[in-house]
Amino acid sequence: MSVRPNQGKRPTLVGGVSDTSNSDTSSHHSEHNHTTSSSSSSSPVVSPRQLSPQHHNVAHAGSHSGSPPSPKSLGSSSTTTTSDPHHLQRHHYHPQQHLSSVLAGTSKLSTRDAIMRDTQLSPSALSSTAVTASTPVGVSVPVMSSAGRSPADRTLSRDEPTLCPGEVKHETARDVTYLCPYTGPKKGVLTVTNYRLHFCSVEPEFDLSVPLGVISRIEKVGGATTSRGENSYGIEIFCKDIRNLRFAHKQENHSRRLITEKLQNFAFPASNKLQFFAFHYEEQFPENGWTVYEPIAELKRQGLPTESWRISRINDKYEVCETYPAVWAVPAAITDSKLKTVAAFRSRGRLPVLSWLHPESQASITRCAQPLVGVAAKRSKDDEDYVQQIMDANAQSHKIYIMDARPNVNAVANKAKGGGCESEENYKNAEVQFLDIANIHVMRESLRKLQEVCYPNIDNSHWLSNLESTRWLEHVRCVLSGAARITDKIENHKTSVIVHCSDGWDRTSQLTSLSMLMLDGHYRTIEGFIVLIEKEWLSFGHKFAQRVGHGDDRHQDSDRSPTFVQFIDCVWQIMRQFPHAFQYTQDLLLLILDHLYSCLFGTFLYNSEHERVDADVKKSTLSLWSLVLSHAQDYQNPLYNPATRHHVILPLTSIRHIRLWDTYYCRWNPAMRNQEAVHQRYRELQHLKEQLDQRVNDLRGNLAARNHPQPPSAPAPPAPTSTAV
Amino acid sequence: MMSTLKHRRHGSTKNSLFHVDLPSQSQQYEERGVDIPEEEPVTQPDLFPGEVVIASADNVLKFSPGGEQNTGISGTLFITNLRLALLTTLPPTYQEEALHHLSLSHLFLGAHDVELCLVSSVCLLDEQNQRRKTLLPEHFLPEKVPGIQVILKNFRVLNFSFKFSPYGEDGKVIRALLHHTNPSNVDLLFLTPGTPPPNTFIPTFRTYNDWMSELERTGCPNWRVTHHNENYNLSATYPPVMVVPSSMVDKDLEKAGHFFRESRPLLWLWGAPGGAALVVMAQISPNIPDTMSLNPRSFGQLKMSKLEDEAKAIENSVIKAVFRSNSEFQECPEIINLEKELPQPGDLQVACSRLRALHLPDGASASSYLSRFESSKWLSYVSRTLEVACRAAQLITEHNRSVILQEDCGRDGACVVSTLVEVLCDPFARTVRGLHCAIAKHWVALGHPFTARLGHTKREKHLQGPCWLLLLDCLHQVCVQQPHLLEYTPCYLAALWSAAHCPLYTTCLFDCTNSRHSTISRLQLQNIEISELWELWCWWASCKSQSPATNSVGDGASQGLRNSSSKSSNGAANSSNSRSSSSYTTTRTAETSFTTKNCNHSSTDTGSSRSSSTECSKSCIIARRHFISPLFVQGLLNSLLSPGALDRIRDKFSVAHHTWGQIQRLLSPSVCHLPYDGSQAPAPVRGCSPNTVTRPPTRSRLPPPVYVNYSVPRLTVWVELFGRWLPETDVSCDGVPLSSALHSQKRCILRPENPHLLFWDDIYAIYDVIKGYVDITADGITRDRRQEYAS
Repeated sequence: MSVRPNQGKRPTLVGGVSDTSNSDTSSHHSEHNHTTSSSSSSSPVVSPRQLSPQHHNVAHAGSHSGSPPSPKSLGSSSTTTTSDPHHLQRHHYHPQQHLSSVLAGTSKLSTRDAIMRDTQLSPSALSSTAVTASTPVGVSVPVMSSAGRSPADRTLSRDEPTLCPGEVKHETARDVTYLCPYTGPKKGVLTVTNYRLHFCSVEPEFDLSVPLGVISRIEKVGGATTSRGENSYGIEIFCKDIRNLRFAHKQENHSRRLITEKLQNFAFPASNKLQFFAFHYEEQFPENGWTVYEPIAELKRQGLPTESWRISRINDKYEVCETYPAVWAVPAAITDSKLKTVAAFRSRGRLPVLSWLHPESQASITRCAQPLVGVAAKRSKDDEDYVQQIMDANAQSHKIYIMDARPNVNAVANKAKGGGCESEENYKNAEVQFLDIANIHVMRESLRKLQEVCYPNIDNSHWLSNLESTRWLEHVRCVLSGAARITDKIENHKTSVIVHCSDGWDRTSQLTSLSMLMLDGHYRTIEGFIVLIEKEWLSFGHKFAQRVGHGDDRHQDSDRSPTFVQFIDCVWQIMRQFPHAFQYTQDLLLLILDHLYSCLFGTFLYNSEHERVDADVKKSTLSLWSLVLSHAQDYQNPLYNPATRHHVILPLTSIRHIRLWDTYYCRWNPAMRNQEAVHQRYRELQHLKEQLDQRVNDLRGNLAARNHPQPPSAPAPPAPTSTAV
Repeated sequence: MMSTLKHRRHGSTKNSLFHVDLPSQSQQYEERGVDIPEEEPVTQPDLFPGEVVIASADNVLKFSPGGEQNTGISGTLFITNLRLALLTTLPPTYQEEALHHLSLSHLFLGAHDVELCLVSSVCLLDEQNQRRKTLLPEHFLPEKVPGIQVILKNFRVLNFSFKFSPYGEDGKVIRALLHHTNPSNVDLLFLTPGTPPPNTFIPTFRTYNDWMSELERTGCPNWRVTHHNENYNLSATYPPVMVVPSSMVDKDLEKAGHFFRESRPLLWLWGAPGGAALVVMAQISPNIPDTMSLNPRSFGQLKMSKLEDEAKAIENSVIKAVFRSNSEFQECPEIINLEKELPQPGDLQVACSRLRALHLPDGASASSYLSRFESSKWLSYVSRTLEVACRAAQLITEHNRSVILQEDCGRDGACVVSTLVEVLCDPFARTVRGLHCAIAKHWVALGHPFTARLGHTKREKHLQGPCWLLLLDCLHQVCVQQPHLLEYTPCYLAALWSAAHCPLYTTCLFDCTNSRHSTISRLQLQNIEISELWELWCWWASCKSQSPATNSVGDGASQGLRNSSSKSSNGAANSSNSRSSSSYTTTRTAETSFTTKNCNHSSTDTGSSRSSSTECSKSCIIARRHFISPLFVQGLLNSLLSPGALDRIRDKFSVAHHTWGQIQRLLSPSVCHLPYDGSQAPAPVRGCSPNTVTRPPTRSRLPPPVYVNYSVPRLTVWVELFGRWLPETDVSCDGVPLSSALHSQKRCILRPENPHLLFWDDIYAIYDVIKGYVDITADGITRDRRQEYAS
């Protein structure tokens, strides 16, 4: 971290990063020569704590546009108010207040400081400070560092966004009012670039920066003649990340028309036959994210090829199955020609291919699409043999489970369309289980309802029943429970599992990736998680372009669905139950979800590996993982215990243990922000330990020096155990 | 697992039959036409002196409900006048054992034992283990009962099957259970484990000194302690000693008393050095119209009887007295009418029974859990209570306004709110010791009718209302939102809920101080030996390690403490170091071995009865790890990091020294089993020195109260209490905790774990480092001194 070759060019990102995070970054750099851990803990990641209104006040925001950050960052200056030197808990070891909150917990050392800090989070403080608390900052993205620019540059115009490399400003409108649902209207300047929409008001100081990719639709509000009253004429922008933005324009200056035109143009490049911004983005990263996932290397890590599994390149040209990756792992017993006949019997040629192999028991997870049974109850001998071969590849068990993610009725209904499900009669030794996960349309509807419940305001008196009526938590529970059942079959019963839904790219991806996450600790590391997403989602053809609707203006397209969001939600649920088992924090999850929409990186563009190869994404765009890996320490979970890697985690899946991921769904609402982040505390603790170690060592050194002639009779005091992380 | 206390086997059971403490009970028992077994069973649970076996049944199967019905264990079911005990050679399930360790009653009872007070209802099960109907004592039992489901007040459910038990025994056991679950009188509860309780230094608030030192601690001026209620002549439910405004003489007090319900005019509970006080006041008597108007001008317009006028005037004079006590004379006290703002005990009872129904194994499907939780209204009650408490806390700290909590008799909601206000405002109340003091003051002394509200006896079933649970849940919300500010954890709060139903802890048994006294004197009249009663907090003091093995370790550690405090020589310091570090290594291994399943099982000869004292201390150590918030300890450690603080540790008068002492008490129970220093006075409320009562009040304002976001979406459903006995239906797999999997190379399934528990290892590591530092500097100093002498 102390060596950061690319400091000046860190990308400005997504999701409405406000001044807050900028200034945090600057304070971060100011302390750069501090200890390594200090800088790693003062990550530019916007922690929930940083979201406190205290960090949004004017003075603080000023440091963003100001000269090189003063060493005395605002956070720490406001804490050191105690006068009694005995009570003094100056957080000299840390630049940021939110990390350095020290508690005097004893009755002797009363908790004045702590209380003072805490009340800064209270609603009264919220209203009294010049708050830009509604600034949608919950986004955990590294932000533009101010280190690269000269102070003069920055003082030029505060209301202009800092452009990232490749970004071009297209339209600016003055006298625009942003109608914030939480802190009221703000007047300022609205700028549209080819990447983002930027709003900036000077009084109160407020920044809002939204990548155009998150825009789902743009609507004009109020007509030229019908608009009465203040702020009734303008545009409303519906976003994919659970929020809507409203801007009021002056009728006189025609700014609304110009802005809307530009927005329509750049927010929906696919509909306008334009290129995504990812193709113009010219950032440089020290790491190359495109090389993280090597299919062969990943299969080798799993121990392939083995006696019973081989690697096949039959799909090199994406001819056998267009939506599958080029490299497969299949049972060693099957010939390539048979593979083709099996593919013909599976929907869209998506035949069973290995996802994961148990390192000890050889039980496997294979994924596929539904068999083309149809009303005529067709059979395929080859397919049946193939399933048998998958079972035989695991010597431990004489049974195989076929997990159909759909509810039973849906599987039956699919027969009318030529699909269906394996029958236990035809597939010997196979047991079919239905996991009851609803389809993409149900999920989309559920998330839409959830947004209604969460944004902009929450009805306190009916919160739980409203939440329940969205059924989102229940769907999440269902997915998790399905994955837990697969994990149970693999780990406890040592039996192989075949997973499919209808096409095998939505629910199947969720199930395989979640159960792999539970079974294999490698996927719980940062690199492993990237591999997991690259492998189970991107290479196996989850239709990101279609499900997200990248750059597409048909906001009512029925192919859109939050399948991936739901998966990330499930990961968060597991993470909440096993905070020590993941190398990354939820900040990484938030980052991924932000860039799922932003179109800043090529990672999530297009529907399949084939399409990505055709578009030459790897050459012409950057990978999100380049960003992640270049700043990996920002996403590192201090609670992570590497010893968990060899073990399996099985989350509790009853509805009581499923919580709403409010840091994501309610992140725009200042009243819903979390007070406490355990990993922040832990980081403090670790820092404390390091510091103390240092001090003890120094002292020991001094002591030894002083008693030089006399060899130290005392063996060293117990060395601090480094059992934890 | 049980403590040594448990093993006082009485000479013979015959003897103890003679020794029946509660003759009326056995009489009633005979009235119901069930014979006391003449022949003693061959095996019998270890009984406390005076404990009587009332009925037993052989070959009873115990199931964990909801899970697979074929995983029951078989044993002999005993009903005594204290508990329901299953005597079996089989070990308890992992969950049972783990949660047993985290209950306060593990000092006395085994993992298969359940206090009768804890039984909420008993239901009949049919052959398919489906719940049929709730049994009441007057119900006629079928000839052969297939099984029963016992629903406990701590949200646990037990299923028993009598399929294989001898004919007739099932009926006996069930009738005994139903009858003794609800004794008619609190005298009939089993009140003492027979050993004197350890000293915990928690005031009882029954003496002059207790209130006086509390007044001094808060520095709240213009209040005085009065003995006027010494014989309960003022109010039967007030404590014998109480605090009233200085301006009110005892005569006024007595006069005022007549106009208030239960003669409870006012009682000071807490105050700020600035003069703001927290006062609880009852409503004026029921025969007088209840109006909250305090505006004297409105008197003229209202035509009221003379009596009403007088009552109003008296109420006003009391309020004025409170006003006068606040020396700043700026604003009149805020009167919060709790009846309007808070749920009534009856509402709470309804909510609580809905919660209990919801958390039965067959309680709710996943699709309706949340809405049913909402319709219990429990969370909205919690939210309202916290809101009132936050408002009151803000008035006191920010505006220095006194707050009067007015309620029917001022014994229910007032207890909850006043405790919360103190916790929010006073850092002392956020420590374990402070919590216990607050319970003694705001609940026991104030006279919360525990007997009635928790339904300990038959008579007052209709008066039930778990205000106590409301307080615990409110505190739980504070713990969840500000885990670093409270020394205790939600886990301890959950243990307090169960322990309130253990009659061996008497804190939460009586209605008021008066009834406590009269019960004790009645029992003494019957020649029953009542050695001092145990309070909830005695648990902390009785966690002594007793086995020689632990003793030596403990000695080493305490020696270490002595060494480090005296200027020890190099070698000694070092040895003490290594030994004390080994003490917590034992702690860690204790946890590990506890958590590895089957470890204790081999040593458990008769599941419910025997356990060695080492195991007791082990489980105490485990429990402490769960009960003390590591984030709070981290705060203490952090404060030692301020410049120079570490070097001041040796200075006996420095804050750092005290902090270090506190950390040592929290981290090594073998050094001191209480998590606080009882010989030290509790910390004063900030902004005053202990003697400010006589001095003019300081102008300093209190720091703002703890911030709690009480909007319902920000509150947390207390799954760890409500649902902790519920089985997971999806995948039944136990898993192991991380701590025991850490060092095993074998692949295993991990269990979800409270992330805060993971802090402990690092906390101990830091503790080590600081200890090392302290010892090194100690050596340095000694050497310097020696050199000085030499020269």
